[in-house]
Amino acid sequence: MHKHIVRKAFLFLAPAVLLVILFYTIPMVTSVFYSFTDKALVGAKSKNWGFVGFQNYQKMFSDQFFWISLKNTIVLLVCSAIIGQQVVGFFLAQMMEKANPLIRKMTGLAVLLGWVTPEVVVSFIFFAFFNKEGSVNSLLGIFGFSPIAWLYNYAMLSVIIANIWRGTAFSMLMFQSALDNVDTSIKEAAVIDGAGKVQLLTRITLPLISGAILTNTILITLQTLGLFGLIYALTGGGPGFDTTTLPIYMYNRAFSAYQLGYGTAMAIILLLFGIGLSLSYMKSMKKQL
Amino acid sequence: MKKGLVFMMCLFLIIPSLMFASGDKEAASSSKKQNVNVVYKEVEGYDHWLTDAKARFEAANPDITVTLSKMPSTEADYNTKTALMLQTDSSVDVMVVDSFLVPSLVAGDNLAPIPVDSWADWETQFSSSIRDGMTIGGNVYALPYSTDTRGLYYNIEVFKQAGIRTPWNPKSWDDVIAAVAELHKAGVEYPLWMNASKAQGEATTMQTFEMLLGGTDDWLYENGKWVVSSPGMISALGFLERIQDMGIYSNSDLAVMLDANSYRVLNEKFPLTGEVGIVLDGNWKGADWINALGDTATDVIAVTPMPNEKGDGFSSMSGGWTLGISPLSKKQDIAFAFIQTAVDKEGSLALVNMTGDMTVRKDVVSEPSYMSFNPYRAVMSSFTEFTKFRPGVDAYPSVSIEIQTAVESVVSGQMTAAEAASVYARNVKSIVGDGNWIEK
Repeated sequence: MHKHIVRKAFLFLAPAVLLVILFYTIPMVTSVFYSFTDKALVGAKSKNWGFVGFQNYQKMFSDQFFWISLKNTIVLLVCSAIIGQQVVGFFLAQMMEKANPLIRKMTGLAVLLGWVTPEVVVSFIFFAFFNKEGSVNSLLGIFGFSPIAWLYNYAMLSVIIANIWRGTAFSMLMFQSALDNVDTSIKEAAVIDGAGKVQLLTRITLPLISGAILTNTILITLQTLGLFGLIYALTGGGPGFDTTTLPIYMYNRAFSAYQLGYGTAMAIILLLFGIGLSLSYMKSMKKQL
Repeated sequence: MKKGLVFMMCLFLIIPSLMFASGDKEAASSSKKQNVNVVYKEVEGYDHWLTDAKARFEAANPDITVTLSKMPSTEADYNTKTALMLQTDSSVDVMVVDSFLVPSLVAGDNLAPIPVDSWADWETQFSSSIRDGMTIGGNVYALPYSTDTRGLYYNIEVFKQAGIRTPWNPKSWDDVIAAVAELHKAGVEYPLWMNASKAQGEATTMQTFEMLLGGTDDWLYENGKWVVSSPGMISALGFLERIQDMGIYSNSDLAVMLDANSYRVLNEKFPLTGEVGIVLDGNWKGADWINALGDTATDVIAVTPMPNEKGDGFSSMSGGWTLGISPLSKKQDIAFAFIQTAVDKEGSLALVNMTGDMTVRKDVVSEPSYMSFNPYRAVMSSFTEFTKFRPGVDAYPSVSIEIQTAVESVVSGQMTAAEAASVYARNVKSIVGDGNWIEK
């Protein structure tokens, strides 16, 4: 009887496992494999490639542009996702709780529009917004300011703003559902006990939704680490290396400079970086709980 | 249990049938009519050229249809796409390939050899230097349909306003820089317009850096070795540094000029609005000036060769575009037949008169409309006397990316010429491997 159930379970799991193996495990293992080779996209090395041990990784750690890209990735991650999207999303959710249904609906819709818009379209919107003859400069012009080269002088800031605009809806939705689940009686009790607004937020609401914060932080971290289309279409990683994040540099090495092995090694580092961040979030959050 | 098994069996039946469904359909239709798929870059004039070739080819071969697949993409992305499609996409038969990629694609077996001996035009209409240039290890892997030269275009009206005498015939880099300074003083927004970013891809390497390096005593690749550092390298990047230091571009100007699609803006700014003084670019741009200005083009825009650094002659670069056959194609003979139609006399003439490209066919050169149609091409054809070609080595495309990185870092002011040159040297050494480079 027991054996019977186990076999059945295997059968039912098989399709899902098959898909995971096909689309996740195999590509991942192949990536690890190729990261130890000097495979190229074109040229003799695309046919006669070989193992080079840790050479790709050594090269990466002595590659100044890798470090610049890593720094840019962290700046983007912290400013646009962990702080930007999360804080804006939280306060939107918090404010919408008390808003009347019509405003709630309208705001929700407006914020969600950013989320449902494809990355490339977002890039075009922000290109139209930030470029030399774009909306921001036209607005500034009305007040007599001279145009600013946003995508040149403040390229990273432009990318961060675009990413916050696009990603906030996700955090907002996560926090909305978490806030909806906070028992109002606890808050009422706290208010009766004399808690102020700030205390209510830091002592009651935030601890109660810390699970949601953790999940949200992990999810948006991983989303932002993998952000490619938005940056590629908006600034192409430039000027120079100002907005080159790891995914952009990885693409640049693998598909523009045709060094597939080197590019995959970078992908592995990015993967490890993502895993490391997620684990450290979980650990630090557990301590608080 | 039984139900589970049935479900599993269904699943295993469904998945493969889904995967092959599209393949079946293709096979079914191709049994009636053969289809040949031509992949090409989005270039002004190509639609017209290839649609015309398709019509002529289909009329001559009623049992074959031609599919034209246009790939809208930037210069750099198209080359990546070329490499990927030729390795993985068996639906591609004919592909438009930038000639600089050909040696490296051949080194990876990503282009099929073309039996040119069976095609009389190859011997009679293509010069021996072109035939030799396209032969790798005794085989020809791509058929050229255009070539080009590069030089300095200048706007006569803008020059007059800045008080510079025309016709302008700079003899050295100092002459060019002097004119740039005058134009800047006169308030011209872009005194010198160049391709200078990674996003602009090979255009940055060839139209800007190699035009400069070619005017020094050094070159990229000498006697079978990559020259990773040389005085010429420092001079070429130094020219860009001098331009940067003059402060002629504001950051918003750079943002516009270095964008991957900036050539579209240039087509307005240079001939029409007077915002650009000099443009360092290829002969095909002549067609854009004619499009914008019509018959009066030569009254507004003139072209002169790019001088060498120290005034000992002139510099130009030549490349070109080719049609290749995918090694994955199952219809290589039909693919070759189509290419013959596309690059025959009628096809070539239609192409070069649409795009402003230079032809590689003898019978097109002698065509009266070829010279009269585009005065810029007529002048720039003579630049072939001193033109240079890119190294036909398979590492070139990767080295080219390093050049673009160096150029962009200097033009955007993020690195000095010396810094960029040392980064270039280090990266190229690692790309080409020990024993394949020298320092001068």
